[in-house]
Amino acid sequence: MEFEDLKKIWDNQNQKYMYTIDETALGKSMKLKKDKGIRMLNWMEWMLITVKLVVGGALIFKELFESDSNPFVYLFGGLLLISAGYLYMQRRQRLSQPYDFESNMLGDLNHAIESARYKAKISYMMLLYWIPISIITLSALYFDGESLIKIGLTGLFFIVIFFAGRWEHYSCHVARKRKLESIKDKLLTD
Amino acid sequence: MTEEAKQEIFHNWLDKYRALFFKVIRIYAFNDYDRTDLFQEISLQVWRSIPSFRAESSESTWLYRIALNTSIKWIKTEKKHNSNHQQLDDKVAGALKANPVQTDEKLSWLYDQIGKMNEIEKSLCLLLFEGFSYKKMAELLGISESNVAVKIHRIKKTLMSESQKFEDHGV
Repeated sequence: MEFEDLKKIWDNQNQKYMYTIDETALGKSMKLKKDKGIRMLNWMEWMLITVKLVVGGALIFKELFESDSNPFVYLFGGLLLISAGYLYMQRRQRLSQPYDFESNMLGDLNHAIESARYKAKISYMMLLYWIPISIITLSALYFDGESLIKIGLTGLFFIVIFFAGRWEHYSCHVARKRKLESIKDKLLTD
Repeated sequence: MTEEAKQEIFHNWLDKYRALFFKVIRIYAFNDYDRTDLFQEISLQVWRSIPSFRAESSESTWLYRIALNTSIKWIKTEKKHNSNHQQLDDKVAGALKANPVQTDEKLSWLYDQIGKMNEIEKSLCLLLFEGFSYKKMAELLGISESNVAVKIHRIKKTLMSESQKFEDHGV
């Protein structure tokens, strides 16, 4: 077949009645989708900020009443509070950023890649956060004289959580970013 | 823009350009669940785009842009990663209901061939069949006309070679 024949086949189709749209169901699903996208990122950001503030604040507050205070705890608590502030600033910057991408497929892809990169960054921060949390918890258990079995099981729990988070980070956030980058490559290369 | 005005435009576009949306979802998604999901995603983006629509481009060009941009970014991760899949199924079931329509063998074959292409080629192929010029396609995609020409040449070559096989073997 020549291209003109293929065009004729295409032009003769009538897709208009292929489906019936149920507008009530569509309205419901659109609302679900809209809420889900916003909720997910907001939840990740606020979860990180809150945990950092609470843990950092609690560490410093507790240390204030200790007779032999440890400067390392102050430092660690301070770092957590600073990183919570940094994350909050990042969030504010994200929300106030104007849509500065060209209004075509390339611009849209660049925007999607930027957004996927931000989500991957937040998810990576959440993942890294488990390392100091597990170290602090295990040290506390050790210095409190808990049994090795209890410490071992707690350590195992943290390892499982870390690897589950790592799997989610790579299979969801990083995979999406890479997929979008590969589509952009397909668009730009001849 | 009032909510009522937005609603009116949305329903008008949904009614007037439903064939456009159905062509796009048929190219990018391959079963009823995915097509419904993609259609909902496109509808959401169309809804969001209404306030930024300016009459600088025609409505259909604008909607092609929204539908295609949404489709290339729509990666079938929703189903795989959605823990509330059953719950979502229950809530949205029926947003799009397939009608029994007569199948055209050649048209089905053509959709199959386009379905095998990569995300960008699918978009270009659709625009080509819909009669867009290379210049317009380049504008919509944000690439050069020469890049469009190279890609279209490859698409036509593939389609014609596959159509030869289809005619020779009926497969």
